[in-house]
Amino acid sequence: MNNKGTIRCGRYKVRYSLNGFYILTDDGRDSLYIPNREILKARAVGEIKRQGYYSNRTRKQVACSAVLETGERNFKKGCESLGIDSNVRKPQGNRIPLEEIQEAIRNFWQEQEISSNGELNTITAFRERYKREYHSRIVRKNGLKGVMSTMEPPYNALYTRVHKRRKVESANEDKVRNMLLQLDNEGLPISPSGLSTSSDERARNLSKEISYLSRNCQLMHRTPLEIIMNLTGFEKDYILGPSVALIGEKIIEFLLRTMLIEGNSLDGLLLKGEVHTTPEMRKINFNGGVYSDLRIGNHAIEVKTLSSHFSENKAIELAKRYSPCANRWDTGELVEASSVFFNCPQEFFRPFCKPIEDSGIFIFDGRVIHQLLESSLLFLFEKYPPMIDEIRPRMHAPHKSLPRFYNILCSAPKLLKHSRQRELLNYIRNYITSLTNKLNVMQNDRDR
Amino acid sequence: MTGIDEYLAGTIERTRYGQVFSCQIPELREECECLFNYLDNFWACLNRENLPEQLKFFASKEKVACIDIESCGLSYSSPIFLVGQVILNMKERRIEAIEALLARDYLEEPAMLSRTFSSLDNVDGILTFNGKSFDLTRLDARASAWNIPSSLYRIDHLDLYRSKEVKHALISDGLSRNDMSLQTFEKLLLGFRRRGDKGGALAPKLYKEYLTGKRKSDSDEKKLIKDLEACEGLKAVITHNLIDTLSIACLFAYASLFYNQAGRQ
Repeated sequence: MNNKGTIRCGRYKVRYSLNGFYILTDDGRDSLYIPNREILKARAVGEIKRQGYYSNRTRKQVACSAVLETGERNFKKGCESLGIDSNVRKPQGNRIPLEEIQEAIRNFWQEQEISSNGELNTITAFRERYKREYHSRIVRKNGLKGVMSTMEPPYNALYTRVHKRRKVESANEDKVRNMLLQLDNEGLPISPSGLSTSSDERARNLSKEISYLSRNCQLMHRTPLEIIMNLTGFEKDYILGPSVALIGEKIIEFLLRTMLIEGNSLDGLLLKGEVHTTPEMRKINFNGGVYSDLRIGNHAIEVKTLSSHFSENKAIELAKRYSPCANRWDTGELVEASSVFFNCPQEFFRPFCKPIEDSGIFIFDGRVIHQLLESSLLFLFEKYPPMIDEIRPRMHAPHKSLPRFYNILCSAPKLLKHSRQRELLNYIRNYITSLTNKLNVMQNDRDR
Repeated sequence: MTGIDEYLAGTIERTRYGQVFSCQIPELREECECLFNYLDNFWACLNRENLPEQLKFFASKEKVACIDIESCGLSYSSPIFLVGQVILNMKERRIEAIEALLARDYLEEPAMLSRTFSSLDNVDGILTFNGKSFDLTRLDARASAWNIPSSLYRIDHLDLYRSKEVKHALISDGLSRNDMSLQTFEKLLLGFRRRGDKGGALAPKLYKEYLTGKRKSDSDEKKLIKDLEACEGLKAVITHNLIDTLSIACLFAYASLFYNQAGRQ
């Protein structure tokens, strides 16, 4: 026992308290409060009497109580040391019989299809069609792999063919931390849902690694959000708040829509055509598929809200991606022209953007966008006051407030997110979205 | 009918950080006659000699502001949307100003904060009720979030909720140690009951209703009704806030008069 009153049992530290209770710590990261043996035993016996099985909490604590003797979590040994029955199972409810699941598998993947060596339907498609079978307790316990292994050939080897998910066997915390910080610097969302639904493959892989880390905490389950908070040191508000980059994109979308309505040109750039916002329409066949932020006709728009200086490598990558007539949209048309909007002062990107300029891409900086934003809002405010009044959430003088906000966004986007402004950012996002929707409706009416 | 500025009397003030609505509730004097009368009585009877050190310190200042804020939640990230102030001129023994500064939307918050700080530059002391752990800390946090220089740390502050002298006065006059809210004080010791008060807990909800009130699917008539209801709700919040600030002034007056009388006896 050391001077802090803890002893080491295997990879755990155990600390006794005065009441006979003890706490397990895992290198100071996780701790679990475990009642003394009498209380734990009484609760376990009571649960068996009352409901016929142990609750999850009791099971966990019984398993942890074995740490003292064996140095590891073990439910059976915990039961033995407490003198309670370990052979108690929680009732499984109305589970679907194994045969029914096997039948569903046979119906979904026909035998001829499997033997033809062609492309097979995915597990995701199976899940969508046979939801109940997929999620039944048997599948959960053994997995689809387990069910298939009980079937006759060729189904017993089917799983290796249809399984495409990259399984994360381990995750390096330092690597995950660095990647999270990098994505954050690039302005991408780092919330758990933002990562898993991102169009960036790095973010999706990171999401898997984070869920691996959250599952493999040694004592207590931690949510992915807690893992991200621990690794990055960011606050919850910061992680869950809307990304500043998203607000930057929304502002540019609004500007371009206003330009389309007014029929104005921006420094010689005259945009025409339909505005596409869906991922299918924005996909460009470059480097396995990338997404532009917006597409107007065949003009690609990229928006960069920089929180740090731009780099030459990024500029070269952008130039390759958006060079006019160099790549095609996923829908088949040529990317005829493109523009990059930098929501930041010139000095952040100007020294690095020669490759972009040389390849014929239009570049706009924060000062130009600010002027345009001011004039566009003033135009709407004077020409369509009832429309502005109708927008919810309310903003009383958008032609003054929003450009002022844009200045902060340009000069200190990270500070804006770090300084407890989650509610404000949500508000701005909602306002600009409603404003853009209104413009969209107006333009559609005009087209009709 | 669109905004609260058309529904309530007041002026839109321009600051370096944008606009802020300084509003007035004309019915306040009629509604809180009891509180105003109590303050008039206080000015007539105030004797600074018998006061304990802390109260004497504030009573002998020239101008003291009573402050109460309303925010969109209890967390530090929740914006503040309303600051109510009652400025007491202790030298001339009168209420100098009663004002409510309203941020009509989240982007008017910096202007409201800046206007609050500039008006606080002219006072020598601040009186709050639980301001040490809520009002002033929130004002400070929001000011730093918006990068606005705050002048709060330069001004002397007395939190009446935490003051031993004030507590002693209230408990001696029969208030329970467990319920020391402003409203209990008004009800039991001043005999003042608020009419149609919505309560501070509803303030965030009413403000958000005002911001995001009507739905797209509503008819024009329904939208107008909802707008009116939202403005009415916000007016109730402003009234509640101003009564709170007046009540803070009365609480200070009550404690001072208590020690005045005790000294005489």
